[in-house]
Amino acid sequence: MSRFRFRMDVERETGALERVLAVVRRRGLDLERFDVSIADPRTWSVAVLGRLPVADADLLLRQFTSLTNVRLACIEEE
Amino acid sequence: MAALIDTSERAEAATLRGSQLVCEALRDAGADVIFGYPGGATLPIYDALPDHPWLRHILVRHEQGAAHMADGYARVARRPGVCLATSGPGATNLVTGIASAYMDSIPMVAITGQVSTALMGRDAFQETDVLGMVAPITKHAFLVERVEDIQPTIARAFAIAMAGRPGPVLVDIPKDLQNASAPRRRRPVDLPAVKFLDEAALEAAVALLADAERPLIIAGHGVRLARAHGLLAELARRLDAPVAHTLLGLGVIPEDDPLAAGMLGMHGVPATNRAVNAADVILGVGLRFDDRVTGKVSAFASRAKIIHVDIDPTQIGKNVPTTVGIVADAGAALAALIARLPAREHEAWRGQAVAPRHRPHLVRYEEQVELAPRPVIRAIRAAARDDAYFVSDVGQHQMWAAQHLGLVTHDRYLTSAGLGAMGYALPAALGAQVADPDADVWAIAGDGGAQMTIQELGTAVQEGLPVKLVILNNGYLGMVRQWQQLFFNGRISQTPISSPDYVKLADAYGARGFRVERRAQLAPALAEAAACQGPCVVDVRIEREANVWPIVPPGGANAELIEEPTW
Repeated sequence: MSRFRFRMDVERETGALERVLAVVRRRGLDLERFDVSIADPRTWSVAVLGRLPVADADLLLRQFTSLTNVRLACIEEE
Repeated sequence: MAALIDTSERAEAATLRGSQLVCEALRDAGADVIFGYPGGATLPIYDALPDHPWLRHILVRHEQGAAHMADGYARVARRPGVCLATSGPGATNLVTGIASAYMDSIPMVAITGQVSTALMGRDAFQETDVLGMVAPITKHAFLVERVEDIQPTIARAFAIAMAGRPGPVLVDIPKDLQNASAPRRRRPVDLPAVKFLDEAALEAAVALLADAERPLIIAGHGVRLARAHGLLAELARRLDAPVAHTLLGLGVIPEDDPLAAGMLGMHGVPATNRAVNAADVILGVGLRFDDRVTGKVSAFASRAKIIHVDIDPTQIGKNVPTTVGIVADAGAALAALIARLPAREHEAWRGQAVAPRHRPHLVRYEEQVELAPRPVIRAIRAAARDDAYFVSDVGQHQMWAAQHLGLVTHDRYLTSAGLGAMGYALPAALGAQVADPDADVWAIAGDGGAQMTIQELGTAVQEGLPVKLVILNNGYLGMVRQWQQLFFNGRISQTPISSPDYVKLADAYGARGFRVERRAQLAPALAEAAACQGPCVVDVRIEREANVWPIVPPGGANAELIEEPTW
């Protein structure tokens, strides 16, 4: 298990944050922090910190980016 | 007479009620049919429907039926099916059908009424947080918050449903917004097209396939969705590679093709499952490598390098280790591979993977019992037109149909494969019939699944949809009973199930009904059913204890499959 931080820009739309959290739950990320701030009037800046096996990190990133409201996403190993 | 809405250019700037905007948006998106059931939170939409006669509304008997009908419609029409339900129980009743569409990548737009915005969050009558419920089973779900957003939101819902890997999208519209007014306008929807076709990955795949000695192609639903059957056949011939398929891949290649290896997985062809383990390179196209296909993952394709082509990037490497992943539409990837690959020959390997299957034990069994499953399925096939659609429910009959229909026409088998939702067959068959009114459509169900949605016979009669429902009636929830016998020490628990008199039931609904208890009755009854101008039900009393063979034990490797016993 390694610790990763996922950062993403999420459109401010009803249900968008819930969908990000649903992916976190489905992929079994051991969640430590979930930070949301307003980047601009249409966008949330989201940071997700948690632990998961290295092999699963890339898949989790792909699942975040497949969400319709997620515009940009990146991953950092802590 | 109701006044029709003026849809000319002059009307572009007209102010319409939200309910009218829903109808306009559906027409702009190319929808012509809605499967729905009215209720309090959709009353304004239903009030607008008579003014929009180009939208045919099919009144279902339960909202689950609406979602399955939209699913069946979408699979045949190749565009999103639309279902409409009221808030609360109407919306919750859609959930099973939405989940099934999600698992099987079926484009669908589900529209739900919601309580008025002033009541939301107050536990109002028939209020549910449908967005919260469907988040994990939709590609996307919208709550419309302004009447001006109704049209663009529905337009976006259709675009999302069809973009990339298809799937269901839900649009929840509060009742007060349906009554509010806004200008009518069309807005183009701009969604990024799937443009990934990684050259390096393609070259890596070409290198593996060109050097393969025992190549095997596994084709899934993605090939059907991409209408890439011809390209699949061309690549298979170029490589001289056998083609196995998943349950939803049934029909990607005619079953009498010399390279057709048949279905793999839990109830797949033994030689095909063995071929998976003998192959040195596997090209998986448009499938998820789900557990029913792989069996025990650690034992799946242990000698093979896997090339995985899928339009959904989240599928690559999710279930099986992948040597090369190509994110692309199946057709685009197959065309690119054909253009780059040399012709090969693998005669010995082909003979090994596409081995003729002799089942003497099964033949002996069929001689001993009155109505065995395989002859019944073959009789249905014989009674139907060559290009008939077969819509199976979920359970033993689903596997018997997949194993024995022997389909040689593309895309004629519909089923709830991923979710495995019992009750799917009859409503999905009705949706298929609506999409292709001249088609010959046969629903095949067990007596358990049939009873879950049998009320849709009322829809079939009211709408004049001549679907034939064949019930393989063994008085059991057969697949569960089979598992209890094989894996739970034979202890039968709550799987015997009674049925109504289906002939009388069909008659009560205004449909024709036939009962088959003897072999000699089978072909004549099916011939009469085939000739029916309206809906009909054929109750076939199959051998009660018949089982599906082969079967891979749950959690077992595909090589550990259990073949039929000796009788």
